[in-house]
Amino acid sequence: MERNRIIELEKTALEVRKDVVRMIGLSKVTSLAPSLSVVDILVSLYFSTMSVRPDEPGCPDRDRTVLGMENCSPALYATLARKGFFDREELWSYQRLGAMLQGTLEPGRTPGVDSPGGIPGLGIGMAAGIAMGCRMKKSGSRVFCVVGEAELTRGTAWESVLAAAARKQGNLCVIVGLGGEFPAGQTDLGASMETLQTRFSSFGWQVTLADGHDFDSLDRAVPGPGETGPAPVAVLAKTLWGKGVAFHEKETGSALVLPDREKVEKALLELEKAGETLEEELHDEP
Amino acid sequence: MSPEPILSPTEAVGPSLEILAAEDPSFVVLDLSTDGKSLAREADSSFRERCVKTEKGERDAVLLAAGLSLAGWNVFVFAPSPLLVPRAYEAIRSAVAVPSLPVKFLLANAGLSGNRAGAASQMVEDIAFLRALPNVSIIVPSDGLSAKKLIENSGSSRNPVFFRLHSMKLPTLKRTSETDLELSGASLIRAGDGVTVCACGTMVHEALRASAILAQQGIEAEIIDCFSVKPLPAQVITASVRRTGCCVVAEEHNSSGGLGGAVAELLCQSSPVPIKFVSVQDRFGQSGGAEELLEYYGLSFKEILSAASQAWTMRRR
Repeated sequence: MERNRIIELEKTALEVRKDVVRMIGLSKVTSLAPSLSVVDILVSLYFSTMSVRPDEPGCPDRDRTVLGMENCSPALYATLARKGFFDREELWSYQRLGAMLQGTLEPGRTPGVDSPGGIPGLGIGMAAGIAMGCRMKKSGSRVFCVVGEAELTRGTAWESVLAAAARKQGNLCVIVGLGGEFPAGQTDLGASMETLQTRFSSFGWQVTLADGHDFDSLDRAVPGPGETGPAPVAVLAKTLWGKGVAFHEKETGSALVLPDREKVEKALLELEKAGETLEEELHDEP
Repeated sequence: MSPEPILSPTEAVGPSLEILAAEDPSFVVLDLSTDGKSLAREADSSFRERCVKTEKGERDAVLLAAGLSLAGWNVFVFAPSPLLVPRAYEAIRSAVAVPSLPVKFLLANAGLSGNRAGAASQMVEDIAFLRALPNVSIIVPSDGLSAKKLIENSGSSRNPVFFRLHSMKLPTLKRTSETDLELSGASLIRAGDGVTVCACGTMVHEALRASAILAQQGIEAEIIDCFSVKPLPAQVITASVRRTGCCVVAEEHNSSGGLGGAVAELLCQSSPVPIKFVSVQDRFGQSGGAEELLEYYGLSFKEILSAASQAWTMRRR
């Protein structure tokens, strides 16, 4: 991937991060860390990998995303708004009564949302169903399911992983964001990258590894439109809890930390500064 | 012309789905039959193509159904009620009922009579589970023919529908009105002004048996086949009890949360009259033949008879 293209994506991701911080700062209902950790994965999908049409969100041949990870809907909403699926104004009423943007995802309520989401343990199964449905309709659509570590310890995740491999669902790609959700030593269920790699492989999946905050790395790990083989693909992406906001990057764990006004302003300032650095880098390029 | 063979509502699933498959290009059914059989066993090849036999877990199958529905398919799921409802409830709730996806569930072998193996394989509380879900419809057909028509009519439904299907081969009931079996409707099986009997599934047949004896005693029972447990055919029921002044509800389901509860919730608000219930008395099932079990658990015309006489003596006019 060209350096300029990467910088463009990084700039988009910074804008999405700022919107996430503003959304959560206004709504004061959830913590920043989980959303910030998946922003780059979602931006990479919507701005580079996936074929979507914001002017026609129901287009049957579109690629789709299922967000299985809990407490991450702000990241998806900010990405969708940035992509043009709906007005950014909607972001500011996140989780208010009657709002278009619900805490748990509702297809049909929000343009661009392809599946219910935010229900731990159910994402992969639904993604497999959509992938199967698209293939039966002879559509080349691909389905991306973004999950966290917790998703893989709950619900029907492994049942669905087994079934998807048996059905040879090559148009299904599960991206696992690994990092921070289960701090080392705090739970016996969190698995290392190596363990997960072995597990997915033994179930018959093609496994690739990525840096979840490096657009070039993500681009190479996630299969392109013509690259679907018979096996579903698992991308194990190393992510950082609260990526982009220094005081959050130190935190780990799924504990809900609500940012106060001071923290929100500090975070925005930090993201602004990162944006200026990127801008300079862009202009320095020959 | 020889009469059509009598099918149980569970057996009616195959023929009705074949018709839907032929009519609707987006039709697909997930077949979770467990007894080694398949819905598409004797069917033509066009139906077989749309019949996905899955032996994977029930929860995964429901998620798969939700995904297929999101991808634009008209999805039916055929599975035994005792396995699907308790195991997949979370998936049914979060992935189908909350987003109100139009997935249709054909729950086979429901009730005590559906399985002779024993308590764990007999589902007497499924209506209670499902009736508490907003957005859904629950249909409990009484005979094979009405089951077939109702399943066919559900093809165009825009919300989740659950069919609770018994597996007894019972005769086709004569319906007084020739109107179509609309999903949210009810059929008048027998007109009368003595006592209203609301029944569903196997119990409609027992109610009809009881009505003959009641008539000899001078009590004319009005029998309503309340196949639509949700939404309840409120107008039909209230109009009837306003004439009779009393009501009996009979169902092959536990005493809490079923049709009885639904009718009581309706009538105590709109037209309070004495109601008697014929249902499973808060017990799980056990091994036994279908008829034996129904008799042992007090689900026969005899209980309906005595409930009707008691309700009639307390009737409010």
